This record gives sequence, C-alpha cells and structure tokens, in this order.
Amino acid sequence: MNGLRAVGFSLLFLTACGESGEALERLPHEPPRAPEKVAPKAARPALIQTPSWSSSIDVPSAKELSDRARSELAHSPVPVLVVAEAKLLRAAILTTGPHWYAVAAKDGGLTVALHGTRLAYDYPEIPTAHGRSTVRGRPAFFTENEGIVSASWVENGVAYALDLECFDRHDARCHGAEYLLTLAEKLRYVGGEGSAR
Amino acid sequence: MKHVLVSALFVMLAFAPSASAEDFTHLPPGDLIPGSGTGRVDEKLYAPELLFPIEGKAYANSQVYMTGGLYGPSGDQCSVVNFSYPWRDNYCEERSWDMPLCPAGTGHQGQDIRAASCEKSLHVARAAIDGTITSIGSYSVYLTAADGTRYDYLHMDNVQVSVGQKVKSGAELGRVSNNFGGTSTSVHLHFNIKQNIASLGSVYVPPYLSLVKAYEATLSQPPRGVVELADCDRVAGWAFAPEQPDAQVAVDVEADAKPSAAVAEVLAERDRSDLCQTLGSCNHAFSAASPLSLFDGTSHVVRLRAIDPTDAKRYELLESPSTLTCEPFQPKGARRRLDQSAVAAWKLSSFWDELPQDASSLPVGHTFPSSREAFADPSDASRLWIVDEGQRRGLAVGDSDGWHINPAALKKATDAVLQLSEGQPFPRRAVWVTVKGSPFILDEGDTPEETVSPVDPEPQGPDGTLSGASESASCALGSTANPAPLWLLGLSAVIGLARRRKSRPQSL
Ligand SMILES: [Zn+2]
Repeated sequence: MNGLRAVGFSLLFLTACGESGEALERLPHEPPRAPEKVAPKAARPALIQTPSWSSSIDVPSAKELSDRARSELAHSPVPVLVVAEAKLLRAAILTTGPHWYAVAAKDGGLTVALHGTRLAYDYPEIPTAHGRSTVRGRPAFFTENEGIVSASWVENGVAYALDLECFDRHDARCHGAEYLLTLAEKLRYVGGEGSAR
Repeated sequence: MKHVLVSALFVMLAFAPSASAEDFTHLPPGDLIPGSGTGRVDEKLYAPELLFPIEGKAYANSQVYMTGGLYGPSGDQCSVVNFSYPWRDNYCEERSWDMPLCPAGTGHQGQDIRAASCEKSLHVARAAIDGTITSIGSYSVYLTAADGTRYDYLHMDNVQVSVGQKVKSGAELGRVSNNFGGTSTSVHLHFNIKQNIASLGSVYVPPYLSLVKAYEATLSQPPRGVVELADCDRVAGWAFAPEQPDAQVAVDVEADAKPSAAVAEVLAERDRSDLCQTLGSCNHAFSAASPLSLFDGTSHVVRLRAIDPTDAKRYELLESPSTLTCEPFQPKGARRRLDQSAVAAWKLSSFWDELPQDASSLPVGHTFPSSREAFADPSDASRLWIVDEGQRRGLAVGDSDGWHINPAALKKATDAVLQLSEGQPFPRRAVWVTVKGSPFILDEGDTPEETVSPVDPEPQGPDGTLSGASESASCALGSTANPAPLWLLGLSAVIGLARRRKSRPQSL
C-alpha cells in the first residue's frame, strides 16, 4: 500500500442540481412524492483525486469476500481497504459510488463500517489540521459519537473513515480508541477499479 | 383510465401532513445553550441539497442541556418546552474526542432533532438526499450520497432499508426513536453529516444551517399537483399552491427539453368535485386537448410544472414527464380564416392548436368569429353554446378544453342566444392550420365558400380578409338545399379517431 501515490487533483465545481430541469426519477413501486425539495443552490469547490493503484492485493483477504462483494470491487474508484478478519470479510457488503466505496459488516455484537472517498470539498478558510492518533502510519482523528467510535485519515489523497458501533453500548470495544485502532491495524488492500491497470 | 382511478390517492399523497410555516424560528448557527460549550459560527451550507430528514414538524435542540437532559433543567424529556421553537444548534456542544471543526477541538458531532412529538417509533426519518445505504448498525443508518458525503441517522427504529439499497430523497428509512445500544436515550434523531474536507479528511461538518434551510423549504409548501392523463387525447391533472389557495396555478407545459423547446401554459382553473374537500376549493384542475404541434409521429417528452404564483419558480408535477407519440392525421373540413383578434379571443396558440400538416387543398369556409361568444346552457349542464355566424352551435362541456374554455367561467345563455337557430355541432377541438402563411381553423360544420377554389390561392381583400360571396347567404345550415358534403363526414371520423387514440404515455 505504501506504493500507492497520489498523482493529482482536478478542480471542479459541483452545483446542486436545479429543480427545474431534473426528472423526478423514481424507483419502481416507490410512491410518487411532491417535488418539495428546494434547498438553496450553491457552487461548492470540490477536488477529485486520481489515486495511483498498487498491484499488491491481499489475495487471502479478497478471497474471503463474497462473490457479490468481489464483483463490486471493480467498481470502486478508490483503493478498497477491508478489515482482514475472516468473519467480517465474509459478512462484508460492499457498495460504491462515483467517487467512493463503503463496506459494512456485522459480527459478534459489532457493526464495522469503512468508507473511502476521493472527492473533497475545498474551503480555503478551513485550515489544515491533523489528528493526534495514527492509523496506517498516517495522522488520524479519533472521535466518539453517541457510542460509535470513529477514526479518519487520509491515505494517498483518499479520505478513509472507520466506524465501529456496538450492539451493547457498554461493550468496551466501543469505548476509547484501543479496539478501533486494533482493527485499523488489520486493514488490507483488496482492489478497486484501478487495480487491474 | 388508471390515472383517474388513482387521482384520489395522489391527492392524499401530495398532501401528507407537513409542518406549518407561521411560527418557525431558529437561533443562529454556533449559538449554543450558555454553558454547553462553544459553537461553530459558520454560515456555510455543507449540504445545500438536503431534504429535511424527518417528516412533519421537528425541533432541533440539545438532548443533554434541555429539560430532562443530563445537564438540563429538571423535568421530563417530553416536556413541551423541548418541542417548541426556536431551534438551537448543538453541534460542538461539550463532549470529549476530536472534532477538528469545533472551536474547542472537541465536541458533539451532529445535531439532535426531536420530531413532532415525544412518541417513539412513530415519526418517519426519511432520506435527506438520493444515495445508497452503506451501513446499518443496531441503532444507526448511514446514507451515502453520490459525492461521498455520508448522512448518519442515529437512534433509529423500524428500519425500512437494507445495506446496498439505493434510495431517493424522501424515502422512508425508518422511525425516529430512542435506541442506543441496548439502552435508551431520549426520543430524537441524532443527525450527522460526515464529509471529506480537503484540509482535514473525513470529518463531521456542521449540519445545523443545512437543516434550517431544508426545514424552511418543507415549510414553504411550493405548488404541487399531478399529471393524471397525458396521451394523444388530453393532458389533464391538477395543480395547487398551498400558500395561495385561492390562486389558479399556471402549469408550464414543455415539450422536449432543448433550447428550442416549445413551452406553453395551461391554467389549473377547472372545477372538479374530487378536489374540493382535500384542497379546500374545487377549481384547481387543468385539462387541455393534447398539443397538435406534437402530432408528427415522433416521440416527445412532455414535462408539466406548476408555476409558483409567489415567485414563478417551477415545480414538476407528479407523474411528469410523459412521452407522447401521436400520429399526424390528414386535415379535413372547411378552413376558416383566423384573424389576429380571433387568435387572442379564442386563446389559440400554435403549440396547442396548430397541426403541422398541409391543408392547402381544403376548401375555404367563412371567416372564423373574431370574438368568442360562448355560453352555458341554462337547462343542460353538459352543453355549451357557441354563437357563430348568427347561429348557436352546441359543444359538449367535456370538449370545452379543446377550445381553452373553462365552462364554470361562462355566463348562461340568454333568451336571445337560445332563440338563434341551432347550427351544426361546433368542432370538438380547435385545429389550426397554416396555408401560405395565413392561419385557419378547420370546421366540419362550416360550409365552403362556393366562389373560392379549394386549390387556388385565395383572393385577399385590402384588409387581408377573404373577399367573395356573402357569408350570411351561404350559412343556411340545416337547409336541405345545402347538405353536408361528404368531406365533413370524413373529418368527423378522423377527428374522432384521433381523440380515441390512446397512445399510452410511458413514464420515464
Ligand atoms: Zn446527539
């Protein structure tokens, strides 16, 4: 993974879609709704990273994933990290978007959610800051949020976040950073759309 | 017609209970309850497209520092003061652990929001944006939008979605509750926005102002309505502006979204008894004979949008857009010259009424009336009378939309009108054709001018109107000396077929 290298940013402006021109696309069987969405429109400066891709996929971890998750890997626009624990790998549900992937898995009273995105909003007035924790050798923020512990870090320009929720809020694994950071040590790279290039 | 059958359902759906606008107030972003920490004063909308994540009224305020909270005044969490405006920010409220956007460097990660009442598992938490469900925990649901921003819903119950499911903004995700890892908290939605900020990475960004704007949008109650029918016969439905309930909403009809798109309007002004109770008044339906300008055999995407009478913003109606593919039909009948004043008087437009077909070979009839004299029949509610060339001609109320006539707005026919001789039925819809740059209306009940050759360029008077035989003399309809020619029957059949052709629109 250390071979991964950020190769560049592209700047674009994302504009909220206008209510006047868009089709109200609906899922089949979804009841139609009144077009009530009228939030203010604003151009927001967004950066999209082009990550470089490693060839060193963790094959044993990738093999533990379900067929469905493995087939979804190819759609991830960013390198996919997963927690290399067999039960979590087998339970992992992988989802992807135009700029991101997410993986969620439940096991043993835990919900583990991992998310990586290449799209960042760039607000010059927000100064650079680094977390005091460390994940995969990078500075990481660690936070606790209503019983959910989270770490976030930037790796090769991709922003990753690892969240851990316990079915029992008294579960010690969801108090403090210790267990979360243990899981973070088990993160492995298993692919993405650029991995075959 | 399925559209008509489900119209009542649409009325109900479009008028699901919502909060009311009159009393909503909120404190500015960053203004936390004194003693609860230092808020972030930030006017940025980190999620400008947000749909408010709870249906109905809601109250954004602290669960910890309000009445019944751990550090709040003693009392019940269900106390009315907790379910009152103004809203108050509680992002960055005092907590441990990293929050790089909070002035203290630590703080509360999101916004706590109470629903309309303290009852748990009742109020719907809905998708704040189009996206994918990326994780569901024992009390959390994460929704990730296309841009990678994640919206976190905590303390949820009755979750209605599954991981991997794509949802549209507004879809029910579950119910607002008090679940909290085997214990309970107060009944509320803890709502986070986790976003990648270039200088920080993935962090919880301030949700408060985006929520305020989204809530105000739900309160603003824009016009709404439904397209119940859009085919080669009619375009019909209803539209209503809740903030101006007495206004007749104009509906913008656009064929094919391109710069040269044809746009026209139809007014939602017609009475319909099924609307009375739900909308509070009946006259909010629209109906128009389908636009003849689209009868060219190719498919057209037709969008209908209600125009807000307050600010002229457009809001697409439910069931819009539709795709219309209507075959051209051969124009038949006498063509009656249309002067400019008639175009305005009859509210004719090339979008609705002009058939893009060559009609130069049709015989020329009498000049079409330059003013519209239409009357309700005092004894037969299903019939109108149109005064034409000194006669009264009948038109079924059901066909009034083919002439842009709102029957409810008509005066009753006076005795003077009823004493006119009854002519041929009036054409069931306006069919406008253009021959050598001049507009005509086709009329199956009119008689061709005998002095004008159907194929020759018509002689023009100095004022541009037809010259020729005395019109009154040739208008003795009903006279056995002047039987309806065969071509009239032909036109009748063709128009009848066109009206019955139900090329079922395909929803996109
Ligand atoms: Zn909270």
